[in-house]
Amino acid sequence: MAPVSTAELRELIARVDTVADLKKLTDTTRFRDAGADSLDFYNLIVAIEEEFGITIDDSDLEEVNTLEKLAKYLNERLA
Amino acid sequence: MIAFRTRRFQPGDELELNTLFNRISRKGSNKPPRPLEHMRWLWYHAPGGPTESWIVEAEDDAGMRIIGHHALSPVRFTFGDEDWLCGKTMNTFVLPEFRDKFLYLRFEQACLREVDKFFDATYSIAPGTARLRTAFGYESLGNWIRLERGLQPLHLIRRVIDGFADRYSYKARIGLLRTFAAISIAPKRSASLELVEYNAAEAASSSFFADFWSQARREAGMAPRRDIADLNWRFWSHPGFEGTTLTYAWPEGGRAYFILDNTAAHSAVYSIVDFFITPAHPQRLEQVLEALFVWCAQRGALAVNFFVTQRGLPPQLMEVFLRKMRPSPLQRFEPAKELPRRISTLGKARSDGALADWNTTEILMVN
Repeated sequence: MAPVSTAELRELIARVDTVADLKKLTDTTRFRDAGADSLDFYNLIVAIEEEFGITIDDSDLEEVNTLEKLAKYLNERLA
Repeated sequence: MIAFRTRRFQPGDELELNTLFNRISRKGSNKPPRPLEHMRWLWYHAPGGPTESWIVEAEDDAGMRIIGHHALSPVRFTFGDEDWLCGKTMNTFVLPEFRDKFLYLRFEQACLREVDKFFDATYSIAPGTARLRTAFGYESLGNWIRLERGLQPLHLIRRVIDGFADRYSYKARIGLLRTFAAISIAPKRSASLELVEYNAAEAASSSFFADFWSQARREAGMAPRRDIADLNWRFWSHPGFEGTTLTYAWPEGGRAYFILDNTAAHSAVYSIVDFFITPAHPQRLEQVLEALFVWCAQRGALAVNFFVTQRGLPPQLMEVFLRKMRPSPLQRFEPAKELPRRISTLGKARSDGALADWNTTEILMVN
């Protein structure tokens, strides 16, 4: 399986109905700093869990709060 | 690393939870803290049963502690001859420092799943949360609107005082309001009918309410139940409530009541916290409203207000309220307050998926 890229995750976020400003969302920007609220974050986690067939535990949330960290986390989990 | 645990609320959590609730809800405000007995009243004494309540705990180097909570308080409804049970969200929170670390919405969803076949519907009055709850199928029943009727010229000054809500202490503002109410001159008016006044204990044992809802429910649509047990829990015996109940019964049949909150916060501005008229006759509503305004003015109230949702009353009654009272001008400075409602699996099965609007008042704002 090809590694998950931040570009792929960005597309996934764009599909979620979000109030975040995607232009502000660089690979290292925290989702909250780009304007994402709790609902956005919840929708993103649900979308990722469905897309990749995994469950992200609450204790891992701090590790997935930017695109870069999220891609790294997923690649480790899916390896 | 922090480990999270979610579990059902236990009586031993009361003190910690109430302390956290006060810390969060009273932050930056001069409102007095909620006493523990007040919380216990809400949690254990509702006629619909005990509150369904869940806790989030976090364990780190400092040990295990509560960092979040969700609860649904049972509120009884009727729809014609049917009895319905709805859950109102209560004191839901995650401490700010954990909002990036704990997925609160997933927790709330799990709680909802547990009671999906227990409550017919759930609703929330927490401001600013309607969007978040769309994730679970909550839909808005419209915004709350505050209607107001000035009774004396000095009521305009009250608006100015309210504008200083953050600048002066709660005690100072209430003191000023009381002073204005005391020096204000009540207009010499008389009502065409005389309302009967009850204190809480008298209302709870009155014959007026003994069979009120068994008659009124037939034409109330879907509405919070107003049996004595419900009104007693929500108002008359509630530790935070000080108010007056005013009733009227027409000799030829038909009844109406108002429950007014005139606690310290409303000492110069009375709030209609609940009201019902049966049958829903607009001319009769005008009569009792006029009598209510006279009653309040004679007791020194500067204004009366009424908090209701846009779709909260039958249209013919709403028309009267909108004519006799006016939307509060201060409302434009406040964030919109929505009433989101979610129909559960049980509720969907009982209603074919479409639930009527709720015929309701501030009685929904259990807190």
